Amino acid sequence: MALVRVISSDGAAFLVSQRLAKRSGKLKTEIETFRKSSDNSEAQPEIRIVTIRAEILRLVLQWLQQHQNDPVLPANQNEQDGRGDAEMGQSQWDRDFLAPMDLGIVMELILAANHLEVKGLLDITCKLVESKITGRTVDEIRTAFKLKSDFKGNEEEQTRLENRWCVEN
Amino acid sequence: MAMALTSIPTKNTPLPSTSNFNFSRIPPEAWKEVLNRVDDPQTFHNCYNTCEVFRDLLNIDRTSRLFPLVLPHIHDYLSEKDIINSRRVCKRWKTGIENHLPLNIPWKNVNPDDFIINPVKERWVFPLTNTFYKVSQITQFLTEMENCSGNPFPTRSLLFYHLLHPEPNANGAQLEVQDRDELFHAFRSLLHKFGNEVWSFVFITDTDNPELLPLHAWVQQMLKLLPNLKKLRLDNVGDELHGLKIWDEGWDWFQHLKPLPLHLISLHIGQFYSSRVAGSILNAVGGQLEYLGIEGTVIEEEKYFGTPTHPWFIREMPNLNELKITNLNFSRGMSNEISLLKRLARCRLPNLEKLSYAPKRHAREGQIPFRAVLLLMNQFATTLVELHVPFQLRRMVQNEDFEEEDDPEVMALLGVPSTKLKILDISYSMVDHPILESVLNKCVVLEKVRLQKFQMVRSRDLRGVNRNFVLRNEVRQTIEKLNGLVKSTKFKSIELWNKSPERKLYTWRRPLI
Repeated sequence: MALVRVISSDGAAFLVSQRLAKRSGKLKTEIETFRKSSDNSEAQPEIRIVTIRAEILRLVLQWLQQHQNDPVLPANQNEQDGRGDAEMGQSQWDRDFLAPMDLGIVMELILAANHLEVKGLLDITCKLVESKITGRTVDEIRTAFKLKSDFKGNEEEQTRLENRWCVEN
Repeated sequence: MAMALTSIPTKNTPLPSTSNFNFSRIPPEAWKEVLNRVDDPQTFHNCYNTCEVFRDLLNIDRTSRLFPLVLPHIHDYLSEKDIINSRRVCKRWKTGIENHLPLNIPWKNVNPDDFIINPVKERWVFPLTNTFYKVSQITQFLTEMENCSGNPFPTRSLLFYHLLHPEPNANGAQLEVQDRDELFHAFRSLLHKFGNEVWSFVFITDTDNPELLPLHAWVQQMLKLLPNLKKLRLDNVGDELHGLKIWDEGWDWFQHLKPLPLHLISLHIGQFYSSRVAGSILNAVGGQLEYLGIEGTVIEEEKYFGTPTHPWFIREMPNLNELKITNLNFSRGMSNEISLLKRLARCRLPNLEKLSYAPKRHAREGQIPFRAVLLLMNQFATTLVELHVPFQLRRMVQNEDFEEEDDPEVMALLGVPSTKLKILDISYSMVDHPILESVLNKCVVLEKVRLQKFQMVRSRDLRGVNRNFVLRNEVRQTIEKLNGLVKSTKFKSIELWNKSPERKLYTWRRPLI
């Protein structure tokens, strides 16, 4: 089985099958570029991902492994309205996969899925973050994202004033 | 004792080398001080990915600092109300929304034609949701915002639709007829207070009523109040071009605008504005533009645009990434399009990646030969990634006995490879042309072909025939034919777009192995 070595920003190496890696648009391009530039067709490609740390890269590869037999969604799926097929593609496994995660990790997964061009993962993670904002009060959002208000003096009142006009019209 | 002056490093004293410095000796408290000063979200993300020590220090702020980077991916899922609500969560979320939300709401999606088709949209829009129908509403807004020193425009975008219609709109609402000076005074007051906050400004004029057209000085004065402008669209609705006369009065008006909008990177100029206006703006800020949209009527005025001897001729736009020339009308001469291309070729655009060269939407005369498409491809062969040329094909050149496939000049043009072109957008009428195969295969990394204005040309007589069956059959034949022609190993998809109504009809994607 042809393998590829994927290295995270903090130096952790993951050995995965090329078939699995090619389900990421970015890794697929990197493997093809390596093939073209390498004289030895048997050489094992090594890809360094400088923007993704080991913990996040492991989660992306884990998700790819679980979904390795799914049809690959094109990057511009539903380009008319800009939305992905999050609900359609979300399985019970996906829900269990995301459930224990801190929202900071989910945000990092969004950036990683976007960088590696993994459409399905990008969709479900975006949908999860969206669900923690939609229809919630400001305090509920702060609790969900573990944030504290850092507005000083009348800054919050100013923002309320700016928003009031937007919302009421 | 005073320290000897010689020990103070001067500009000429080399600083000690840091190449052998052990950064792990720096205590976490010092790193914390440094990292707390990182404002840019991307730099934060890079630092966060660097090592465990940095992650421990930055973990507390992670969701607030990553939000601006995540926002472009999630904003489509969020309602306007939720986006506005999120501005109150914390300062970083507020600035994230204001500075990182894609500005495509009024910019990419506003088509002046929509204002005619749907009169409900006849309004000044203050995105996301604000609509004003009257001067009195602007006055009321300014009164309410008297104590507001912040930014009331969540996307930093402002659209002024020049609303001077006495007719009721589609909802039956009678719009207030404005006094032109009163209207401008209201615009100016608004920009005077909040102009600093605006990054994207769209000003749409109605040219059907020459009595109510804005004065030349208006736009000048409004732009003066927008010092942080990044995107500017000056456009119009209506077919009358009275504006050209008005705008002929001054050439150098933009040059004398102080301060110049130094952050302007995106500019669209509608047909209301003469080539003098376009030339004046381009001469002042052309060098910094990344996007330029321009109407055919402006660029076709041979007198000014692309005339090397003219003082306002634009010779180089080093940063231009996307050029969109729309509403071209080649009815006035068979070789008109070629002369325009030659003028375009005189302009140095070393970083052009996207080029649209499109006819008037309903123009019957929107036809060009393949030679014009090849000229465009070759002109920017080393940089162009996307080319949109959705013209109907005109087979004959010069005279009716002359086919392009026999033309040595066309054959020579075919020999130049397009090394970066990935997306080619052409008319469906070009599918049967004998040189199509050579055109497609000169693009060595071609990924997508989009065929515009699809119609069932092969089956004109559809009486007694199942129309859907014929349509499916014709789509299948077209896809098979095109797939047989393209030899690029990267070729992934074909799109077919219907002529009328204009919509995507079918997408073929290469099956994954």
